[in-house]
Amino acid sequence: MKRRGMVPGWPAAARLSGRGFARSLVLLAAVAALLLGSSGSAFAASQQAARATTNFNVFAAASLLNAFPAMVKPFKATHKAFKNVKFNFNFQGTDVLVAQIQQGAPADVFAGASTKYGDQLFKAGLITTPSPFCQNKLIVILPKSNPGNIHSLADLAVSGKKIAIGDANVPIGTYTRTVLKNLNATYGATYSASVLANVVTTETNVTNVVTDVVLGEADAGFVYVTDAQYTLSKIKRLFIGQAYQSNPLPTYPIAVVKSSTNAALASQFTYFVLHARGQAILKTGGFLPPPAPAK
Amino acid sequence: MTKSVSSPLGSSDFSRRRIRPTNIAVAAITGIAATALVGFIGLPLVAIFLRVPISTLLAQLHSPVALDALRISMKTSFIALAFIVAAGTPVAYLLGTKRFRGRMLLTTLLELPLVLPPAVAGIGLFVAFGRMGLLGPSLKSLGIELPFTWVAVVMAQAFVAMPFYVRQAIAGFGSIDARLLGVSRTLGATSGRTFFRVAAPLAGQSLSAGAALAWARALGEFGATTLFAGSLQGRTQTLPLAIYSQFSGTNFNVALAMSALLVAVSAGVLVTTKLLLRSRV
Repeated sequence: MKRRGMVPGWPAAARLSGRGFARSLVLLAAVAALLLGSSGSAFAASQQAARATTNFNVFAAASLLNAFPAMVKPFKATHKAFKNVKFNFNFQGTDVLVAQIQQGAPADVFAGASTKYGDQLFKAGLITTPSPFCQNKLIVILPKSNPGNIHSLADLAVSGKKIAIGDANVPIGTYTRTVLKNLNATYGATYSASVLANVVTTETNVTNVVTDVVLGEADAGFVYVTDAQYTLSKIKRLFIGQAYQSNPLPTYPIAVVKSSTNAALASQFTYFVLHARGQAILKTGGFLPPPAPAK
Repeated sequence: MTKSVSSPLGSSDFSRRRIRPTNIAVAAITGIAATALVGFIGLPLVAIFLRVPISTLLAQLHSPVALDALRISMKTSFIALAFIVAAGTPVAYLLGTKRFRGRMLLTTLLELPLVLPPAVAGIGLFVAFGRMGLLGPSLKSLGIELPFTWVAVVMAQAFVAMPFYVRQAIAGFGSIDARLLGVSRTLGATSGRTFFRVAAPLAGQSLSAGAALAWARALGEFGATTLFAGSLQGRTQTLPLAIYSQFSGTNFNVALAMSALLVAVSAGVLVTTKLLLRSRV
């Protein structure tokens, strides 16, 4: 017997009669709408709760991933008004931070590893005037077991070594290439090219370069002295003389992002970083003080 | 009461349907859901092409970083595909046509990369085949160091893309009438001959569709590749890796151009796959 709505093989109870089918669809849709509505309001509620406990987004260069979180407690201790603020750190290569801010990502403070990117954001009208808050230097690190048998900067140019550096767009990558050029003065005109020929990976942030070396996959990596400092137990260091560092030294700018909804908190945090308390924490991390302002 | 074309969902003669509140509600809800989904999926894809003029995108594709990435991506994804098909076909044939103890386990294992996060795959490859990994010393004694080489890229791509082919192939071989294979054997053909002359042609469309999907997945692989093979322009930097490296304030258009290319290629692969599978009854 063939009746409208009967699917051959289905039990009679499940036959799709027009009325019953429409009813169950409506029920399904109602349940879906209820779920969507409740999750939507839950989301909105969490957003409101988030606004009540402020979310403070700090977009910081990857090399700051130890120093900046260390500032949260001391900052809250002296700024009791903000003690319930939730600090969220976004650590990336500075160029990625710039792209994110340009695309409208919600940031309150920008702290980059290169004044070039600070100026770029300032020119685009996205941040307030950037202030330099620290400086850094480059160093070469080797895995503790030294699988590449490297004992001096000259060894880096020997063919067959596996060297990890930063991508050309990332500050550490730019500084590394500058330093290599400077080293030509002592190690020969082909030094820089030979070392670059040994590069096996160009990482998008300095933390990945550190990882390559710490895990022993790369024979050497060009990183900041601050990165060497917090991995001291796992690496060996090859110092790069002051004469070969980039001039000016890698300088880190900090600024309040104009679209921030926590402008007061952002300026207070920026002030903290730029003055005694924040500077002391940076110094412990191995950072150098910012350049003295030009007279 | 209404003349209806017999279909499991009742009358398909919409003009004769009574306008009832439930029908309107259903139509409205479905319409809203469809619009939301199309918007959610479609908007990001279309936006990639609308940001800058197409001429700019095409010009950016000629930049060294894009050309290098394209070359590396083509080379590695096709080699990965060759490996996947060569190794995956016999295993899929076994799993699709024979029953044995452990079949479920083996199938699950081979399908695992499908649900595994690519970063986890990358870490796994790293700790297995890295210089300091499980097989590191053994490989080193053979003079092989895998990380940071194009072979590592191929391995990462093959690892994540394998299940796409194997699943489709198992389904394809499994849908062959077992009696046909049996008849081929009783007529005197060896298992090899049976495979090449009977099984493979019959499962051909599934195998092609699976290969197309696996290739597209290999092409788009990022997480495992970046962790295991690193990223070096001209050697290991595939299109997805290049997009990530160029995602900066100054080079955004290059990243955009490469993204547009991958969208177009992926769409092409998917359409091809659908056409291949549609002619299957």
